[in-house]
Amino acid sequence: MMFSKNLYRNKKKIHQKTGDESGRGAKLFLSPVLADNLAHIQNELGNSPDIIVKLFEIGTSRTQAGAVYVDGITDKNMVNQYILHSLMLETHAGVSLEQDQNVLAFINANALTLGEVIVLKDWDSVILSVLSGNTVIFFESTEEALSGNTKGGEQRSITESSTEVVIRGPKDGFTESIGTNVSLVRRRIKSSNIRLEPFKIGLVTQTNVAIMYIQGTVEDSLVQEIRIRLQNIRIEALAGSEHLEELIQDQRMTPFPTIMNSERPDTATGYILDGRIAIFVDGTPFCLIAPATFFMYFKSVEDYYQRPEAAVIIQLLRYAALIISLFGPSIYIAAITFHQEMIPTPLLLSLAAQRESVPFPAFLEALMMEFAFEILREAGIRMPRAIGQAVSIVGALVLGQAAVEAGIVSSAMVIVVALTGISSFSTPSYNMALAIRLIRFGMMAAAALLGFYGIAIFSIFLIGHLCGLASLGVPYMSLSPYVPEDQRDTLFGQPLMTNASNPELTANSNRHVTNGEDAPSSSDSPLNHLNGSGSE
Amino acid sequence: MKTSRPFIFLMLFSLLFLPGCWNSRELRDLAIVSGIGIDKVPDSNEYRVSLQIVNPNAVAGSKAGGGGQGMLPSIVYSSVDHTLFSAMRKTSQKVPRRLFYAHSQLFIIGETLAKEGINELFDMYERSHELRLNTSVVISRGIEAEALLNVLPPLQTTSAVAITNGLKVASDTWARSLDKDITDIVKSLSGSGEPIISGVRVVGDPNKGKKRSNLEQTPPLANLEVKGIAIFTDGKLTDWLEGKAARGAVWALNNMKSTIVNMNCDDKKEKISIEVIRSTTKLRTVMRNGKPVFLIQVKEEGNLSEALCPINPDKREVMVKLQKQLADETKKEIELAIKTTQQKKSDVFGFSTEMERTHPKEWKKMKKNWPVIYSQSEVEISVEAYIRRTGLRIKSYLKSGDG
Repeated sequence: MMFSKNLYRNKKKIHQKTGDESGRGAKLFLSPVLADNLAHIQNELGNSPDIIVKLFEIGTSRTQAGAVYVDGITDKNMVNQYILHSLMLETHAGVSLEQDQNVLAFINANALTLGEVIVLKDWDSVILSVLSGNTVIFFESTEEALSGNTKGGEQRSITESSTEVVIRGPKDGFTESIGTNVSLVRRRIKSSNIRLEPFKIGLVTQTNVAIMYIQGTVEDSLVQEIRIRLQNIRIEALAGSEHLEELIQDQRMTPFPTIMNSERPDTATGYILDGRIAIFVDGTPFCLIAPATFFMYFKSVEDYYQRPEAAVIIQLLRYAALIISLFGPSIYIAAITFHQEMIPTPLLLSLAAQRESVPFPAFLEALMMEFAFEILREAGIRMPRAIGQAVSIVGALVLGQAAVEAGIVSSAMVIVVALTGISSFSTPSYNMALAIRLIRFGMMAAAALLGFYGIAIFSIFLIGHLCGLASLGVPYMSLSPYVPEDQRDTLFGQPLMTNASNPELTANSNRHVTNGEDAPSSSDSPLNHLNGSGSE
Repeated sequence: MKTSRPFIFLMLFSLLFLPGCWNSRELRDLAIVSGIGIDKVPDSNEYRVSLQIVNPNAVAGSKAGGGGQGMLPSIVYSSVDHTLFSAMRKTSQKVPRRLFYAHSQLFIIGETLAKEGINELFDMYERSHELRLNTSVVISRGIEAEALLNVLPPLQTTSAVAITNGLKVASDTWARSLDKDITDIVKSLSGSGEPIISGVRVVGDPNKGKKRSNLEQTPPLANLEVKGIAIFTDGKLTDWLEGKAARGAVWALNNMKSTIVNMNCDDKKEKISIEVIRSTTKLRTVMRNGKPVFLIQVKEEGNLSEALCPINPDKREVMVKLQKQLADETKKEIELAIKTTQQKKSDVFGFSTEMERTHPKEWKKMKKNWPVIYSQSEVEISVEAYIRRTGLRIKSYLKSGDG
């Protein structure tokens, strides 16, 4: 694969401790003696107090058995009611465990009232199963164990996303649980073509990762590419989706994010329906979406929830804010130190009067103010809420008014910096806003050195860089192989009915045929319009 | 090769810094010139160039900087040299900042200099990248250009700004002056026609106008007034068009935006006023008996805005009469302007260009002798006037004997 070579860069030396786990040859199997098994697992998990081992006898047959689970990540009610209760009481009328019968098969068929039960033979899978929140049951004189899915325990409930806020639209947000997250998307797409592929990443953490897409809608090569990238990851611990993003992105040397993330199920759903792939990582409420284009970062789901006329204006406003946050201070610096003739005379006189007493060159002044603003912003995020007011007072009064009155900065500069700061908040995606923030300083330096000429040079480099980026091999600036049909949605969020086609660069071309047959009738879900079944 | 990559980046990076900020100018190091005045030094062929420099601190009433009070809004520096540009540069000896011309809005030519000829004055403007070609040009009447720049005007920051704005407003609403910029003048100087430039004079004592006390009383001791249009013969100022003749010239030049025309109301003199709101003029030249004849066709529209006598405009014949009066008045004023320019052999209206365009063969013969031919040619003026509205009132409240 053309992109997979990047992945090996992240390959780390496999740690000694985990060496035997990766060595597939030497598998350890269970012992037929129950006491040995229980002792082994306790030993293996370091006699941790939250490992609960419960010895009991099964119903009337008095077969010895032991259940092992980890307190806190299991649902205690499930363990008590569906495992211990049903096994110990064995209430099934007329059926009882005969001496010579296969214990496992009997229990599985008659006694365990759980939906998901699997048979385990080796220690690796037993331990992984226990640590994942399952309850493993060992039986006397049996070399196999049963694992029942009792995952549960305390979890954050589904709350509104705090990073991507909409006025009108669904209020649910992803949580830290991958199961919940997948279900939130599944609820929105009732298509049999939806595919979910699990991966386990991280030799130590064994983090659950899943990719979700609609078969037939997405280009198969993209799915294949992402599978390869995920399988090639050799890493001990996966910290979260941000970490994964870094491991699977196309290019390392760029400030721009090339894989989109979202905390909103409706955003993820929309992009999956578009023919993109969502990647869920257990333990983080942010799912990844690939391939991403530059323009996706300036779209908010809100654009689809409001009337298209208003949404277009708001999007234009967002792009204007992008221009301001990228060029604002640099244009000011360039105009004031190189191109004074471009400023209208009355404005020039007023600027000149303000700058008369400012002891620093315009670039230094801008840099100081931007720096102060960045500190203020960072402090605003990190500080405890209780001292928030103090920071805003210091920021507004000391850095703004007092600095102007003392003649250290000009008031025009305060306005420019404030406008730039506010503009950068209007980008819906925080990591894109961060990239722009970073580039702004380079732009300012270019403006201070060469004026508008410098801004032009820097912009050419910037555009060149952006056009060279790719996300899963799909061009990042989706304008340059230009597919006019795809761009209808870039700026102008059109009414749903006219917006039925999927992007050519990511979507499979024969998608209409496969989808039209399997999708439920259109009255079931309004999303079918997006799905393509309503078009033609 | 791979190891040299950071090195290449380093080289590129230093390329950014090594040339330095070669063209960077900090605002506080600039002396912003708002107007340039040019005079003839008596008994020599040198020019005196006066530069009016704005003091931003005194102009923008900003809190920053503290000062402002007690400072004059503008300062005039002047230098004498053989060329304009070197005189401007010479001023650097006196000014503690770098002179910055991109915001100069006004170019004043002293009347004495204008009388000796203005043909060569604009070359510097066409060559410089800092000076602007859309700078307004005026002639200082009866006073040196420097003195005009020295006046501290009320209501505006500097006299250059006051004159530029005043000229624009007066030309648009009163139409007895013309706002001509460097491009217009260079255009007419390079053709066979003559330029036409408005005059500005000082009302009151120019010496008292220099002082701050000028701004501390009303009416001011010295004030600026846009007055008259200068006409040139062979690039030399020869006459001034005043009042109605000036307005006639504005009409003929198709520069009429709006004006007030007073007309007679039966026996009462000039007691009806019409506001002209729209006017277009077409110039044409035809050959008749081997001689050029100039046709001026004016179409204008106006509103009745005041009548100091009882008239009844809802009667058609009254309106028709008013329209005819307006047309006659217009015609009379244009004739006045044409007559004066013909006397001075100054083709300011661009008939030469029109002639060259429509009758290129004949033009070749006339070209050399054009000023004389112009002064002897016949001019036919036709005016079509229309009065559109009578304001918010139709019939006057004044009672008339005959109703």
